[in-house]
Amino acid sequence: MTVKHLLIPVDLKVSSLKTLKLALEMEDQAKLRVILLFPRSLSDSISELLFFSEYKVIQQNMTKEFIEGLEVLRNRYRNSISGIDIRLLAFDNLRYFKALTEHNKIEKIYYPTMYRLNSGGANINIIDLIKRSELKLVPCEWQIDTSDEREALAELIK
Amino acid sequence: MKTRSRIAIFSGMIGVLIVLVFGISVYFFQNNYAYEDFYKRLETRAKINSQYKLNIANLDTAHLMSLREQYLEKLEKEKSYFVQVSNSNFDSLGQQYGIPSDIINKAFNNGQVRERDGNVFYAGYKVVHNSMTYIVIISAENYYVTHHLIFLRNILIVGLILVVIIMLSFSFLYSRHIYDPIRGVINDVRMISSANIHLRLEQTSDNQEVKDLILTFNDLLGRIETGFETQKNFISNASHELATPLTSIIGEAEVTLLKERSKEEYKDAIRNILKKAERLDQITRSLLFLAQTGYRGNAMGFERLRIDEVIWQTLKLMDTLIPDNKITFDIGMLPEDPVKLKVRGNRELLQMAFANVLNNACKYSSNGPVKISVASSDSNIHIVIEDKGIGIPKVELDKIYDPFFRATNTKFFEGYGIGLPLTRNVVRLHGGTLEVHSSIDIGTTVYISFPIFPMQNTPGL
Repeated sequence: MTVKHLLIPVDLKVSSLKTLKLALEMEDQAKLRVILLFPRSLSDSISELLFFSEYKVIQQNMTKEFIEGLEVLRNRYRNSISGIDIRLLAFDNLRYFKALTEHNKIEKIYYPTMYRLNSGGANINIIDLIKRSELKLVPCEWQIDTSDEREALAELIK
Repeated sequence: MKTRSRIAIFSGMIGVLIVLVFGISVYFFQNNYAYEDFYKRLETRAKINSQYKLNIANLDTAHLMSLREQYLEKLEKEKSYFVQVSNSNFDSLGQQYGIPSDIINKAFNNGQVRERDGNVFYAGYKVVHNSMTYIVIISAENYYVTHHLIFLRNILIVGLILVVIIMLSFSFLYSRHIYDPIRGVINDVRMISSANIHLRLEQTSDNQEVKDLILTFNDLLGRIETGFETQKNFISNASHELATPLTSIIGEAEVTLLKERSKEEYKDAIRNILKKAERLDQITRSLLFLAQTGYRGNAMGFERLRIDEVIWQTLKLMDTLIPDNKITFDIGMLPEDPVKLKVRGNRELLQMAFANVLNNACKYSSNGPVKISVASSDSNIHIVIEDKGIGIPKVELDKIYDPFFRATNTKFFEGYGIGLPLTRNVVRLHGGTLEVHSSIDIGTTVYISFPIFPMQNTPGL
């Protein structure tokens, strides 16, 4: 079975995993490699850039409910998931975005249409970049009306 | 002894010990150096003297003397002795030159001598010149030892006493300064009693530890206040719940006894009384069970269970209790690995907990659709039970775990208000958590999670 490469924008809050859940439900016949893309601008400070670590930035922004929700989805679709990676999108630049998708062999992008990704002050319009890319796009319409991460986790499960 | 005094004395003693070790070391090394240095100075003078007296190196003696006087200061009570040893009668030589005879003896036998007689120091050596033996000795008082070293010793002693006083005073003051906020906290806590349990400690200190202590105390007070509140609610609700069937029983009996009645009327009355008594019995049993599950002592009879199996069994039970229920078990999020569905628990208690939640969901949604979903992360099993019922008012959500509490919009539904507290106790007994999210007229979601029971912890299960 060939592996399909998907890209899904997330804000490391459990609600944003709903797009991943829908993608996994829709792609149930394929083996999937998923990149969860988290937009976050880099600091202007040279000293902060010197000690910059993508892993640390992701760990600092990830809620424990997000980790729990991701594990739930991994356990549910264990056989169809070949891997899930979380990557950082640091620049609001189409060429950079295209290079990133090409490097990761992305074939399809699932993105939320109603959910507003929490950018955490990042000046990156990831949905706009996605729409301007020439990849196959799958808009997902869903809404979770809560800011409570526990409640959102329950919403993701039910 | 108070901890405060103990800390003060301990830190004071440490300071004193350090100063004492330092002082003794300074005095010891300075003392050693003073003796060694003085003997060397005497020996230098003795050598110059021998050169001068014997003219060994054929030097200009006048020039030598002028150099000596120019560069070597005169020592305190300095005397030089030039002893020609012609026989071994050292006593007579000693008397003749006015020096202790054993000094001449030691210089003659050892080749050199370093001796001290009271405050007078002697240094000298033997010189053989032109087949004659001479002993050259220089004596002087060590001014440094007699004055400076004693002065240093006195300074160190006075310094030590001052350091002891200063260290102890500072230690007491500092420990008092440290303990002041703690004493303040103790005094504040003493002011709080059951009558004013709503009071909280004020964050007045900059000390992080004291801030944490105050935070912990406030947290504890919050829990105690909640406990008080729960107990008050429990008593009022329980007395109401118990009084209602009792009043019915008494009323029924009194009305029946007002006049002679037929056999059928008596039977009817007794049946009514029995029904009310059964309700009373049910309430007291539920109360007892609630109390039993309220503490961990009853966590017995636990086994390794598959949570989905327990849910299926509960659903069968629900079909018997509410035949026309619309409960659906959504298996869409079940993990592919069944090991991730294993919990350590008591089957009956878990069934009862799920049945309570499902019963509430069916009851308050007037037998509307109820969905139960199960999912697993790597460490927890999550169960979500969702209904589209009447919901719970937001302001009452934090009271729903109080025994006998019933939301204001439930007056048309039967119940005692024991089911949810009981369920939460059971979930807690299994190391899990229970949360209720609800919106009025939209529905209620009960979210339960249990820790997965890992394989390596299951010998014999």
